[in-house]
Amino acid sequence: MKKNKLTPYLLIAPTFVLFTIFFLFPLFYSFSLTFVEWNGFAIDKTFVGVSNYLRLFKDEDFINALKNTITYALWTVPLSVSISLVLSYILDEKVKGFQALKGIFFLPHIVSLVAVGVVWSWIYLPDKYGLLNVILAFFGIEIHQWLHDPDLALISLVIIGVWKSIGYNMVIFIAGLVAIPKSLYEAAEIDGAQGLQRFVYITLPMLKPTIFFVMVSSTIYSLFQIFDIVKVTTNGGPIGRTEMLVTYLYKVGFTNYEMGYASAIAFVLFAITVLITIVQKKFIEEK
Amino acid sequence: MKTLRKLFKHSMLYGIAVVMILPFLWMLSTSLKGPAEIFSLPIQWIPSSPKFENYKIAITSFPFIHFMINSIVVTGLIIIGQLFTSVLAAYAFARMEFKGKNFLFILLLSGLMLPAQTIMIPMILTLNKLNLINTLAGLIIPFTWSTLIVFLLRQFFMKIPREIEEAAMIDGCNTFQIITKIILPISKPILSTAFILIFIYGWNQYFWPLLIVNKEELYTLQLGLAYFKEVNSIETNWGALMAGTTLTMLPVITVFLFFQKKVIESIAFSGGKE
Repeated sequence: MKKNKLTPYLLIAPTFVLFTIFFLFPLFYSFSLTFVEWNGFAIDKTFVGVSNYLRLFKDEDFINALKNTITYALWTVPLSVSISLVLSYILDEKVKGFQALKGIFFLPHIVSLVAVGVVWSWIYLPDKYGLLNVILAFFGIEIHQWLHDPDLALISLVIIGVWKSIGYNMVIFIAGLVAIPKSLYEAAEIDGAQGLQRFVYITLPMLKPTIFFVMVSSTIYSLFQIFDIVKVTTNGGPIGRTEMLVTYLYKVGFTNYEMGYASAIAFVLFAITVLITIVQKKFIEEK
Repeated sequence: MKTLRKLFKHSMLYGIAVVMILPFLWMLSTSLKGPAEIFSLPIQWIPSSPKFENYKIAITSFPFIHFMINSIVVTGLIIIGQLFTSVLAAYAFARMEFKGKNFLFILLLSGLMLPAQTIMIPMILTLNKLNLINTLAGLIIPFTWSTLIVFLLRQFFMKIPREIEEAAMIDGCNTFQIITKIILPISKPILSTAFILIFIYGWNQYFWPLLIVNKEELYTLQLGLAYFKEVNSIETNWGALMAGTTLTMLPVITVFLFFQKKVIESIAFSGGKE
């Protein structure tokens, strides 16, 4: 059968033209910007070598943002993964209202981060009318300032992040659980293994690749999804306690107009993402 | 022992489910309350008589309807654009042999896991060069391609038996006719999956629109809502703000209520990519 040799290229052209203009080119351009000093408007860019990268080590705000980002991920990811793992294990189709429950757990995942940020600002209201304070007052716990309290702001964001991601992780885990052969559980039952033992000796080892996948993707996801939430709720405050890499990068670029330095931060973010992805690939190939 | 375990299991499931849905109920409840009820203790979950005034305030004191129209136009065109470019590319990758195919496919996949913020500065400079800053087109054109959708469609197309197309080819159909007359009609399940994914992505977008437009008349709902909260921040009218938030969520939640299974499947499927 004769086929025009150009046809496949014509078919992929729309995607690749857009991909090149709006992804590939910006990516390389971004890298070249990390070596210059430039405010974004001036005609001339000053070449400064690697000094943008060196500056990172001395920039306390950057180190603070990096620290906050890591802290946020270290709280959110394990909390969300363990809660959703347990939930997916105990939520089987025999539970009454299985579909409805699944839907309720999943709902936070599909709504926008902006809407989530607005609703939680209302829940976290720092006076006696705030819903969370009302609920805690019921248990005799005093009023907290949540997003306005330097010691609680980050953990308040962690709670939002966990709430938002449980349902998604759960659905991935349910798919992983279904794939575990029933015969393994039956064999364990004959050997006398009960509830928790079954979970520890069969479910966890069999689910290891899925757990790893979920941990990696939620870590990467938590790196950049946090932008919208922070922007709507705390904008990095109080006193920089919720400043993240992505929000700091945004400020350096579009408030301070330091395009070169912002690009260097962007590449640190890029490097972290690539690193996490490589670790994930390595792990999956080993399996 | 068994019933005890079951009781524990169920109370945990239902307990956490209540916590998960509470923020939505709280939002809805607040949006239907009058100013006196919003700040009343003990908390009144069900308003004495539901008031739609907050919705009226949200819509009239703020161009919410206008923002919603912008969101519908932008999301709609992003959906059409992504489906168009992705169907073509996915067909080529699934069915045709050409030089550089593997390299190009892997190159395209490289974009999957990258935080948008990594390329934001050159992206804005590029959009500026193309005169797309502060235009509706700027909110649409850069987002009319998708690695994920190409990938999903390609997986599906590869499973379609080749014989179906070969018969059509003998009948003299060209590639375009094969795609529109044979491939697309049998791809409805995956196309609806793609539709849902792009819809949720497009509707919820905030970061890029924030950078691309700063004129109020071009705001999408997400930008509008964030702005509404900001201008309200001194003495917040939480009733109106929650009404606005409800309106912003409504389309996505409606789709979810009607197609829950499909939505969950679609999103789980797209996450399980390798």
